[in-house]
Amino acid sequence: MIRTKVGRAGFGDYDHFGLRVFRDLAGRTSYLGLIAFAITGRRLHPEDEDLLDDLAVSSHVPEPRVWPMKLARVAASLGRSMPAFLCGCVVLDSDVLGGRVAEDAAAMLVALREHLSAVADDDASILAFVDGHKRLVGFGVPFRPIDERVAAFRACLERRGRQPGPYWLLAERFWRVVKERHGVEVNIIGAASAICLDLGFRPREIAPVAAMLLQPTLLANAVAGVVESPEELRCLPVDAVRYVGPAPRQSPRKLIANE
Amino acid sequence: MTLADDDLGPIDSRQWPKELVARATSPGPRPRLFGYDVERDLAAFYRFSDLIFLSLIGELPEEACSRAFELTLCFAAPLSVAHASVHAAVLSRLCGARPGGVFSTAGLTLAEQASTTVASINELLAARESSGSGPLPSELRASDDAERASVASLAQLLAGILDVPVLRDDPSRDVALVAVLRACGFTSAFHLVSVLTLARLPSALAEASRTKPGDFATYPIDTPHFEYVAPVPDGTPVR
Repeated sequence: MIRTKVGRAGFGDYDHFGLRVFRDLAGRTSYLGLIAFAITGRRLHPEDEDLLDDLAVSSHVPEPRVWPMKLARVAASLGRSMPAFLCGCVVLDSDVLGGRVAEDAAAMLVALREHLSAVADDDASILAFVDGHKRLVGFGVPFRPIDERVAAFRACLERRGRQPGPYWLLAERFWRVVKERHGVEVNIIGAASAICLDLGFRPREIAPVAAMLLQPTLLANAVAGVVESPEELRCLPVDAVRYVGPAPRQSPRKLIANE
Repeated sequence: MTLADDDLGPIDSRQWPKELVARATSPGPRPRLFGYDVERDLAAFYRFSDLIFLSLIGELPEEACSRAFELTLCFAAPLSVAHASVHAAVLSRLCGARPGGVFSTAGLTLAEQASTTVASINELLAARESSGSGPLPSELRASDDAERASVASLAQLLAGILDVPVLRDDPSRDVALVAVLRACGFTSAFHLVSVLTLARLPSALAEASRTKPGDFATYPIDTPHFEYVAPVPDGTPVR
C-alpha cells in the first residue's frame, strides 16, 4: 500500500493535500500558486504568489538560439510542438543548467547559512566558505557582463516594496564576496534559489520550481518552431556540417574477405 | 538581414562557429560510421550489436569482445512489466502516446534504472580492478541461487571467449553484466547506462506494443493500493 498526501478523486471534487480543488483552490489561487502547492503541499501567501510570478516573467528568455530553446526548435522542425516542448523539458534535468542546478545553488546557500551560524557571521567566514568550495553554483553569466534577469527581478522587488528575506540578504553578501574573489556575477539560477528559499521551498523542491519557470520560453519556441521555417533545421545543409571523425577505412573482416 | 550595432544582443555581437561538428557519421549520400562504409562493409560483415559497439566505443570489437558483448546484451534484455520502466512504457501506450512518446518514456525510465544500477556498481568494480583482488563487498554479491545460476550460465557461455575474473567471485547478476561490459571496454557510466538501456528497450517495447491504447478498464488502476492521508491545512490566507 502507498500512503499519499497528494490527493484522491471524489464525486464532484478532488482532495489535494488536505484541501478540495474546486471548493478551496479554484478561483482562489494563481496558476503558479497552484504549482507551488502541488510541489510542496503548502500554500503560498498571495503576495508570495505574486513574487513567484515576477520571478517567472523575469526568467523568461525568448531567444530561440539559447541551447535548450534551440533544442526545442530543432525538435519542432520535425513537425509537432509537444515532442519539441518535452525535449526542452528533459534537458532541464541537467548538471549544467536548469532545475537541478537551482537545487544545488539553494543547498549551497543553506550550507552557507549553517556555516556562518557555526563560525562567525562576517565576510571573512563567507570568504572561507567560498574558498572551501571548488564549484560555486548559481554564478557565471555567459557572453554579457551581468544577468539582466536578476536586475529585472530586483526591480520587481523594489516596485512591490518587498523587504528582502533572510536568504536573499545572505545571498547578496555571498554574491558580493564571490564577485570580489573570482570576478563572477550571480545568475538567475542563484537569484531564484535565494528567493525560493525565502518563499519556504526546500532545496529539493526548487528543481521543479526552476524547471517550471522556463516552461513559457520552451513553449514559445516549440509552438512557433513548427511554423517558422522548420525545414532549415530539419536537415542542415552539408556545408553546415564538418566531419572530423576517422578517415575512410576497411574493417578487419572485409580485409580478410578481400584477400 | 543585418542589425545596427546598437541593436546587437549578446549572441549577435559575437563570432560563433558556423559548422556543426560530426564526429561519428560522415554526412552525405554514402554515410560512413567512424570511417567504415555502412552498406558495403558493416552490413555485410558485422552484426547489429557490433554496430552498437562501434557507435559507442569508436572502434569495432575484437572477436572475443564482439561475442561477449552480444551475450551480455541478450542477458541484460529481459525485464518484466513488474519493473517501473516497462510498466511506464505500458502506461504511456495505454494513455495513447505516439511511438515517440512510448519510446522516450521507455528510454528515459530504463536509463534512470540503469543509472542507479551503474552508480552502485561501477566505481566499486573500478577500485577493485585497480587494487587487484579481494572479496566482493556483500552488496555486490549474488543474493540467491537463481542469481547464481544466471551468472553461472553467463560464465559458461563466456568460457574460452573472455576471462572476467569477477564472475568467479559470486557476483550479483547486475555486477556480472557490468563486469563483462567493463572487460569489453565500456568503463564510463554514460557508456554502461547506454548499453543497458539499449539492451532492455525491446522488453519495454514488447509489452507496450501489445497494450491497447485507451483500454483503461483492463488496467489495474489501484495496484498497488493508494491510500490518501490528508495533511492538516496550514491556514495560509487565500485570495
